[in-house]
Amino acid sequence: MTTKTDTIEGTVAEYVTAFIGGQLFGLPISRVQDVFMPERLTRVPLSSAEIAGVLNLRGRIVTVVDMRARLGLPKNDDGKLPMAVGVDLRGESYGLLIDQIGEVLKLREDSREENPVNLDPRMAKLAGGVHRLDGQLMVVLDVDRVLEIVPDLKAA
Amino acid sequence: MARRNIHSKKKFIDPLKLDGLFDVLVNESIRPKPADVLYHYTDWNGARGILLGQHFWETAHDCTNDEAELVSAHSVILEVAGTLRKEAHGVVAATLDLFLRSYPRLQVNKLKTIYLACFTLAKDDREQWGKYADNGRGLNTERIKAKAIQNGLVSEADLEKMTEAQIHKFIFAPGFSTAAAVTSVSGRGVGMDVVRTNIDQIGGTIDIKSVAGEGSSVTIKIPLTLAIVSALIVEAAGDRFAIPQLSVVELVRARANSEHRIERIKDTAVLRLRNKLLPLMHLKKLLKIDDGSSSDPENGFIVVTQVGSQTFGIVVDGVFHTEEIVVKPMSTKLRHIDMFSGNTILGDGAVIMIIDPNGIAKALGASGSASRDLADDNAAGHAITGEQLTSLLVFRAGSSQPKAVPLGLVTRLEEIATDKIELSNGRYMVQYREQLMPLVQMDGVTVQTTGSQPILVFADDGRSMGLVVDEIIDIVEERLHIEVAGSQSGILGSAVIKGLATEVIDVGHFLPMAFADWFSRKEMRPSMSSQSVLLVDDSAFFRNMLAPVLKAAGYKVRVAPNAQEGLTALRSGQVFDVVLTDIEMPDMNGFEFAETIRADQHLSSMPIIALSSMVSPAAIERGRQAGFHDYVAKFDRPGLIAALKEQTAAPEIRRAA
Repeated sequence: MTTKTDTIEGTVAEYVTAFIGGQLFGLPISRVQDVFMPERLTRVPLSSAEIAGVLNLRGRIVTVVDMRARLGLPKNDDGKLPMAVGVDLRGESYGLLIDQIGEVLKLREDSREENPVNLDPRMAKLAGGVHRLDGQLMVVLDVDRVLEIVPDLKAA
Repeated sequence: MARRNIHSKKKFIDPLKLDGLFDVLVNESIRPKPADVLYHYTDWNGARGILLGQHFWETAHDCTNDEAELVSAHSVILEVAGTLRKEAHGVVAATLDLFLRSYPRLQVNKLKTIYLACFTLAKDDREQWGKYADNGRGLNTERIKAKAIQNGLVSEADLEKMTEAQIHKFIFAPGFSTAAAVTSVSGRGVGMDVVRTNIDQIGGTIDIKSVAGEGSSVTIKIPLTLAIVSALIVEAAGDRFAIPQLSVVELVRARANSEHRIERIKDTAVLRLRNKLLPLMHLKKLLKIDDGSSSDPENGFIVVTQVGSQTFGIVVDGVFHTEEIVVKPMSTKLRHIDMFSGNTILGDGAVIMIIDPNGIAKALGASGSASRDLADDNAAGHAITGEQLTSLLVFRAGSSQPKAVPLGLVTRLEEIATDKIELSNGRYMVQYREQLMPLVQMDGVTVQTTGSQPILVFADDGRSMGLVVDEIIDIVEERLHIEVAGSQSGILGSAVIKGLATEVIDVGHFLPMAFADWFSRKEMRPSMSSQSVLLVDDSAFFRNMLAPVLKAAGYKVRVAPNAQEGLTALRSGQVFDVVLTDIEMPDMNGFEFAETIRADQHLSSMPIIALSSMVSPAAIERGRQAGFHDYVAKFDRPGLIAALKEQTAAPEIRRAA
């Protein structure tokens, strides 16, 4: 991830945006492999609550992360099917469950601000700054931190 | 059974015999018809299938006579690739296919000159490999050099310093192909870099060796852990799971009132199967996915599973079929779950978890039956401490104080009708499985005269002995800590079990009462040159239990309560023929102990046998690396004696000579 110090005036970053629990998030486009509809999700007994399950995406086994659980948000109850953003980490495939996919935004790096101090701590842990957009805030998701999932002790 | 010789090859998959097929194809006595050609294969066993496939069709289609031989070779390789494992489809088959597509162009233009020298398949504990070799012209080093320079991969000066083998490695560089033109058999766009990437991805390696004018060989190695295993697909709480067939002994449909029925000893569910008692665990409870749907406590499908010396039953809601599955490693985020060894994609595209019987065995050993865990709220009180727990059979015999014996030592529990008990020559006997089994009474126990008599059966090598007890109370999991040494013969000492002072009996004391020669018959004649064993175990219980067994088998025994004292003994100048050590010990564990011995120049050839309650393939592998000669389960006395015999046999010959 680019840090504040090495930003160059005028550098733009592209984000794939997504809504999770009404909040707009942005994922660096370089980290996004694909966006897909999670189908035939298999739950994994004894796994962390933040793992929604695993599924077969074109012959690869993808571990699906429930982003609502990861962010400490309540379960989605609007009945709409979630979407998933595919990301890779160290050769493994993950799918991040989101409510809805948004557009791709090009944003100037220098307009990114640090996490507001009053940001929900669970969200702040996964956020790599925010962008102020027209009328709303886009939280930049730090994919590496999102995937730092600690196993539930009771399940281990 | 429990004993596993760590040098023996694991039989995950049956060996393949390809020679016949190979001959057929190479000699072209049979030409497969394009109509046969589907990507069809089964597994290692039935892997005659047809993976010749499409490729045969494609190539045969427009190949000239000169190319016919290549087609055969090609087909054989695809065939072999198909048998390597299911994933071969995606990776290895494609790889070898791709390889062959580019390979002939790299090496020869007249395909006629390719002769298959050999194609071999082999595997060891960790890897399986396919090796293709020919006696063609070999790689064209000059052309590879030219191409490498042209692609800017290397400077001419650097090239001068490189060996041929290093130069040949350039064919794995992205976009590297010396094929001048794309034809039906080569240079179709995907290069050797893709081949290597594919193999890297599954943790394998590809190696190419080539000598100009003599031939080339390609070796592809693939980790065995990704191999195909045959698995039983079962259902629990609506989800499917795979249980590797390798550990499945049999399937039992338990029904109330049938021969196989689920019983309870206290609140531990057990299955009485051919007079053996098996602990049972409900898969859905174990996995905490119990959906509350009433599971009939007395009926169910039971997968009888064996791990090392432990046999237990896994209760599932349904059993579907067996399927050849490709084991895929669990995600790093899920690898901490002991219950699963991996996951797999089923034929219908769904992902399911592969049950790790070792994990289940561990759960059985650690927390007792999960059903009890859930049923008994009090159980929460005895938290899982991570300490090593032992299954103990608690019974009453002679006194009101309970007695206990490690369950692992007991072969069966029996209730025998008293009218079957005969008195012969002053000894109680019972006809048991067409043999006369002596009954041994502990002090103060009287044989019942009416009703039935509970006995503990200890069997070894075809002979059985029945220990008469008053009442069988329970099976418990406890950290066995003998606090007071026993003064009475036949009692090892006392331990607190379930809050009660309990006497732990010394089975070794009672066995010779049934057969005086129990320990000394067969191979164990106390030899003239009795050999000495160093026994290292931090548990006084095991030292006390094993030392008499070893002595009875004719060995001189020295015991050490930890690895440090063991090393001191070894370095004291006293000569030992073999070291027997526990694995789970504080400070220095058995693995470290073995590594230390291996590293000591005076002791490096000392045979070391591991003694552990954890007998899992991973532990055995770890043991092999640490330098153990053998790995034996703690309660597996015959296995231990056999291992000792084997490890001390060589010096005996040396002495005799």
